[in-house]
Amino acid sequence: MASGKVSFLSQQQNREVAELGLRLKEASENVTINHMGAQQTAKRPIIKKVLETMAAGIDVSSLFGDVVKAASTKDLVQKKLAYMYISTQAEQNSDLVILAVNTFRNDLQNENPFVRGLALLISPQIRFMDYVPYMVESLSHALIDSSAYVRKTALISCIKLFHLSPKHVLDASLIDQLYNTLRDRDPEVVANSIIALNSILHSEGGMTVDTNITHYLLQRLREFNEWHQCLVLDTLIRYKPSNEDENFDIMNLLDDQLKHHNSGVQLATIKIFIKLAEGIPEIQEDVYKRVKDPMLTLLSFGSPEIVYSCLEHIIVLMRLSRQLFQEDYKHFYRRFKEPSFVTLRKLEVLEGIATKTSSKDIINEISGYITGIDKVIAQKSIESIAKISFRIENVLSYSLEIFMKLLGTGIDNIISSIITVLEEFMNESPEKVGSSLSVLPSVWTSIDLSSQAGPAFLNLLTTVGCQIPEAPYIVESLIDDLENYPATSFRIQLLNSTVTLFLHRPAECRGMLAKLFKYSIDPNENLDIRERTLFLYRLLHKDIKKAKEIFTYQRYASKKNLNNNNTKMRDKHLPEFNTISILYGNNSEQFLVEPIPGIFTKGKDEFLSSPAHHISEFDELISLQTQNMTKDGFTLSTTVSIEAKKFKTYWENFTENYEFEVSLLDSSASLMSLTLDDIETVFEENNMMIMASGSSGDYLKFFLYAQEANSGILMLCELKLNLNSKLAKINMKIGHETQKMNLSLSKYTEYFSQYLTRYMKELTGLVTT
Amino acid sequence: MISQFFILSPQRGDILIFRELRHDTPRDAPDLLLDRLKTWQKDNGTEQDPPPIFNVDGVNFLFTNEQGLYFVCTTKFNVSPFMIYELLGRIATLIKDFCGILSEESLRLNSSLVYELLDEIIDYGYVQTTSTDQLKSYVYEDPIPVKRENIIINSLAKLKAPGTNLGSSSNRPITHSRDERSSEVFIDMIERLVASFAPNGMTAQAEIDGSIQIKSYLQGNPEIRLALNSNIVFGRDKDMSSDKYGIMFDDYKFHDSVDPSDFDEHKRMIIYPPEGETTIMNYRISGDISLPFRVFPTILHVPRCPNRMDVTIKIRADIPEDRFANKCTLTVPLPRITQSVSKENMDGSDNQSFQYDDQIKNAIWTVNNLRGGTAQLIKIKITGATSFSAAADLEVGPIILEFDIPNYTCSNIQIRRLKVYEKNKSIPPQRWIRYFTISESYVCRV
Repeated sequence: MASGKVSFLSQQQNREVAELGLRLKEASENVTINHMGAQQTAKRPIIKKVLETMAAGIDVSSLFGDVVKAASTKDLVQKKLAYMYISTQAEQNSDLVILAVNTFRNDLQNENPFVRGLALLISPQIRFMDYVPYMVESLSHALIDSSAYVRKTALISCIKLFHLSPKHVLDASLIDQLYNTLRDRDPEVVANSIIALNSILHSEGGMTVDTNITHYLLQRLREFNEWHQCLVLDTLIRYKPSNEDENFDIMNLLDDQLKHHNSGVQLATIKIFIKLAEGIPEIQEDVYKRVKDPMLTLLSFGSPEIVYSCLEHIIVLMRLSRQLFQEDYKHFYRRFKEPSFVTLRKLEVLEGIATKTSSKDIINEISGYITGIDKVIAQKSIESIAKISFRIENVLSYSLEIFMKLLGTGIDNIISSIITVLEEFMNESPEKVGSSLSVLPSVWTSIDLSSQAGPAFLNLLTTVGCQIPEAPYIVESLIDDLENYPATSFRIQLLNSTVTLFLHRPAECRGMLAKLFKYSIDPNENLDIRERTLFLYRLLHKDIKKAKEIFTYQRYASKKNLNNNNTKMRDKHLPEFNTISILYGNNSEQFLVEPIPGIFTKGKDEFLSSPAHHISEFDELISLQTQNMTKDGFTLSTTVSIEAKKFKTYWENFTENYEFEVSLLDSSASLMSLTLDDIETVFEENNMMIMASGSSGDYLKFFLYAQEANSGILMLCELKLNLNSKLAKINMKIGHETQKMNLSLSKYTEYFSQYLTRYMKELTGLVTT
Repeated sequence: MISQFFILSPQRGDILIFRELRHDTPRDAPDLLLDRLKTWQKDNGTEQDPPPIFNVDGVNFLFTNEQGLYFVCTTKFNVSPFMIYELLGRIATLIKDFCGILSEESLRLNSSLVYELLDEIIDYGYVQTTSTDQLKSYVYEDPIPVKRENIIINSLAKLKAPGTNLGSSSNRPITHSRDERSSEVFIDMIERLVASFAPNGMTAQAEIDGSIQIKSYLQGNPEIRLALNSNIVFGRDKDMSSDKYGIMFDDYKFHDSVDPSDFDEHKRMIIYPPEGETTIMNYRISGDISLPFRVFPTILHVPRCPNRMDVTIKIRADIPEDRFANKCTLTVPLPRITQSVSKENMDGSDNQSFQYDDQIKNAIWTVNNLRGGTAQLIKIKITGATSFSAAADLEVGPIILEFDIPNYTCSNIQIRRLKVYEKNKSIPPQRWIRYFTISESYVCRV
C-alpha cells in the first residue's frame, strides 16, 4: 500500500514536470511568432515554477534542454533564472551541462558586460575536461575586458577553474596576468586578484607580499570597500617591515582604520598593530592602549554576536597586558537585555581585571546577578566572585558575608553553587569559613546532592563535624537513602566522611558505618567504590590510630581547583587573532579540517553516507568543549567511534605495541558460562568499544579500542581469552590519529594495560553473581 | 571564504533561503544547526541563547539572530568572526532595504530577488560588494510588497519586543523611490542609556551610546551637510568636567560615507548617504551624565506579620518640564516565595497601570506620559507563602526601567544645520529629524 502511494505521488510529480516542459515549449513558440518584448517575460513565471519544483526536491533534469533554450534571451531576469537552474543542475548531472556550452559561448561574446559576467560566473561549473582549455582562453580574454565587472568576475572564475583543473591554470601563464590585474584601476578587480593569487598559490603561502606591493596597497586602502579592506589587511599581516621607521609609517597610515564602522576592518587593523609592536617592546603598552577604546566602543554598539567575539578577544589582550582594562571594569557590567553568552564572557573578563581597588565594586555588582532567573549565570557569578576572592587579598570575608546572606534565601541552585565554592574557600582560609558553617544543617535539604555540590557538602560537613551536633544524623539519613545517590564521586566522599565522623564520634557512628560498608562492598557496586571500601575497612581494621592521623591530615583535601585558569593557547594567540579559533579557545588545527583543493570531486554523497558517524563526532565535539570532567588526566572518551576501515589502517600503522597476559586463575568460579555479550557489556560500560568479536571452542576473541579523551590517544587491542585455562592474551597498540604527535606513549601504554587488566578481573566478578 | 549562506525560521525549522557557495560543506547543514539549537535548548532551557558559533565535523557555523530569523554562514576556514557577523547584519539590512521589510513572509515572496542579491554580494564564498548603488544596477527583480495588514502585525510585534530599531522610519523598498513622490531623507538621533544606581540614588555607572541614523530615499548620493553643537570635546580626561568644557566624547566613529575632516574643528560633516538605512555616526559618553530618571526603592517588613513585605518605589523625572516619557515601565523582581501581590497608589493618578506575573515573580508598573519635573509613587504589598527572612530583600530587584523620551537627547547634542545639495531638483527634498532617548539597560539596585 505504501509503495502504491509513493508511485502515485511520483506519477503526479512526473506529470507536473512534464506539464512545465510543455508550457516552456509553448511559451518559446510564442516568442518566435510575435518577436515582441512582452512575450519574453511569459517564460519567467514558468522557470520560476521550475526552480520552486527543484527546491522541493523533485527531479527536473528532464527539462534541461528547454531551460537552456530559455537562457538565450534578452530578458535578463529570465536569463538569470535559467542560469540559476543550470548551475544547480550542473552539480547533480554534470553530463547534461554540455548542452549549455553553446549558450555560454554566445553569452561570453555578448555586448552587455553584465551578460558576459553572468556567463563567466556560471560556466566554470561545467565539469567537462575538453571544455577547460576553452575556458582558460576565455578567462584570459576576460581579464583584459573593458568592463570592470567582467574582469572581477573572471578573477573569481580563475579560482573555480583552478580547483577543477590546477594544471591548466598553472600552465597558462594566468598567474602573471593575475599579478598584472593587481595594478588595475578598479579596486574590486585588485581585491579579487589578491583573492585569486592567495587561493591559487595557497600551497606556496599565497601571494608574494613585498615592500612595493605593501605600500601600493596601503596607499589605495581607502578605495576598497569594507570587505576588501579586511582582505587586504589580512594579506598585509604577512609583510615584515625592514626597520622601525617603516613600522611607524604603517601604523600612521592605518590609524584611521581603527575607527572604521566595520568591526572586521577594525580587528584586522588591531591585529597588524599588535604584530608591528611585537618587535618593539617599548611601544607595546602604548599600542595596546591605542586599540583599547575602539574595542570598548564595539561593546557598546556591536550586535550581541560582535560583542561576544570582542569579549573573547579582550580576554586574549588581557593576557598580553594585565593592566590594560583594569580601569574600565564598568564596561563589563551586565546589560539586562544582553544574551547570556555575552554575560558569561563578561564575567570571565571581570574575574581577570579586578584589582584591590575595584574588587569590592565588582563583587557587589556581580552579586546582583545571582538572584535572577538565569541559573547558569547565577552559578557562573558565584564562581567568579570566588575566583576574585582567591586572587585578591582581603576580599574573602566580604564575599563570604555575601554568600552567607544568599544562603538565607533558600533557593536550591544558589545554595548548591555556594556550597561547592565554600569547599574551595575552606582550603584557602579554614578559620573564616569554619565559623560560619553552622548554617549547614539548616540549608542541606536544599542542596542538589547529585551535582558536584554533593561531595562538597559532605566534605564541609565532616570538616566541622565535631562542632555540629546534627552531623551524624544527616549522614545517617543519607546512608539510609543510598539508592538515590548513585554518583561515584558522591559515594566515595560519603565513605570518607563517614569514616572521618566515626573517628571523631565512634559511638554515634559505628552502626551507620557498618551499614555503609555492607552496601558498598556489594559485588554489583562500581569498582572504585568497592576498592575504596575495602581500603578503608582494612585501614580501620589494621591500625585505627594511623587512620586517625591520616584523616585529620587530609581534611581539606579537595579535588577541584578554581584557581587553575585555562591556559590553553596562550602562546599561539597572535597568529589566530581575529579568527574564530579565539572564540573556540582552541588552535585552529584542533577544529579545522583542511579543505581539499579539489573540492568539487568531494561529492555530497560522502557527507550523507554515514549520518551515524556525523552524530558521534558531533557529540565528541560537544564533550570536548565541556571536558575537564576528571582531573587525574586519564579519561576514556565516551563517544569515540572508529570505522572498521580506519581501525585496520591504525592497526597497521601504529608502531607502539605491547603484548601481555592476564591470568584469572585466582577466581574459583569457572569461566565457561561467560558469553560474548557479557564481556562486551563490561567493556562497553567502561568506554572500551568493540570493533569485532567471535568465539571458537574455548576461545573468545575480541578487537577493542578506546580513546583517551584529553590527548586523543587511541588504544587498539586484540584480546584472546581462553575460558578453560583462564588466561587472556592481549596484544595492544597505541597511537594517535594524526600520527605527528610524539608524546611519550609509554605512559599511556601503562594506563591502558592497567585498565584492561582491571576490567578483565571484573569479569570474574560477573561469574560469581 | 564562506561555504554556504542560509536563513532559517527557527520556530518551525523552515529553510527560507539557502545558497551553496563552495560545495565543500554538507548539504544538510541547516538541519545540523536546527538539531544543535534544539539540543542546546533542551540542555540549557529556553532562556539561554546558544553562543553564535559552533563546529561540527570541521564545519563552522556562524549565525546571528535578525528579528527572530537566523542568518547563517558555514565555512571550513579560520575566518574573521567580526567580518562574518558584520556581513550577516549587512545582508539583513540590504534585504530590508530592497524588500521593504524583513520578515518570513517578505522572504518567501521575494526569494528570487534575495537570490539575485546574494549572487552579487558573494561569489564562490568571497564577499564582493554590499553597496546599495552597485547592487541596484545588477538586480532586476521587482520587490513584492507584503500586504498592509501584515505590516501592522509586524510592527505590533516590534513594539512588544523591546530594543528593536526605532529608526526604521519607513517600510518602503528603496527601489520604489524611482517613481514615487518626492525624495525624502530621515535622520534619527538616538541615544541609548546604560545606567545603574544604588537605592540612595548614587550612580554606579552611566553611559550614553549615541548614534545618528539616516534613511535615505535620495537619488545619486547627493551631498548632505550636517552640523552638531559646537561644544563637543573629544577624549575624556578625568580631570575635566563637562560643565566647563562641554559635551565630552569618550570615543566616536563615522561610517565610510562620511567625510569628517571638518568635524574636529567645526563639528561639521559631509555625508554622501547610500540609499537605504545607514548608521553614519556612533559616539560614546560616560561620566557627568544627567540621568533622566531616578528611582528610590524602600523595603519594609511589616511588623508582627512575618509573611508580609511592602516595597515602595518612587520615580522622579529629572528632564525639562516640556519633555515627557511616552511610557515608563518598571519591572520589579520579587522573592520566589511570593504568593500574592497588591498595590496601593499613593497619589491616585490614573495614568499608570500595574501587573504581576506570578510565573517569574515580576511586578510590572507602567507610568504613561511621565512629565519632566514630576514624580510618581507606588507601594507594592507582598504576601509570602511562608515568612520572609532578611535574605528575601536580596531577591527584590534589581528594578529595570524601560522608557523612551521623544524629542530629547540626554547629552544635549542637537543637529544645528542640515542641508541637502541635490542637483537638478527644483523642489527641495523632505527632511525629517527626530530625537530619541531610550533605555538600553537602566537598572536600580535595591
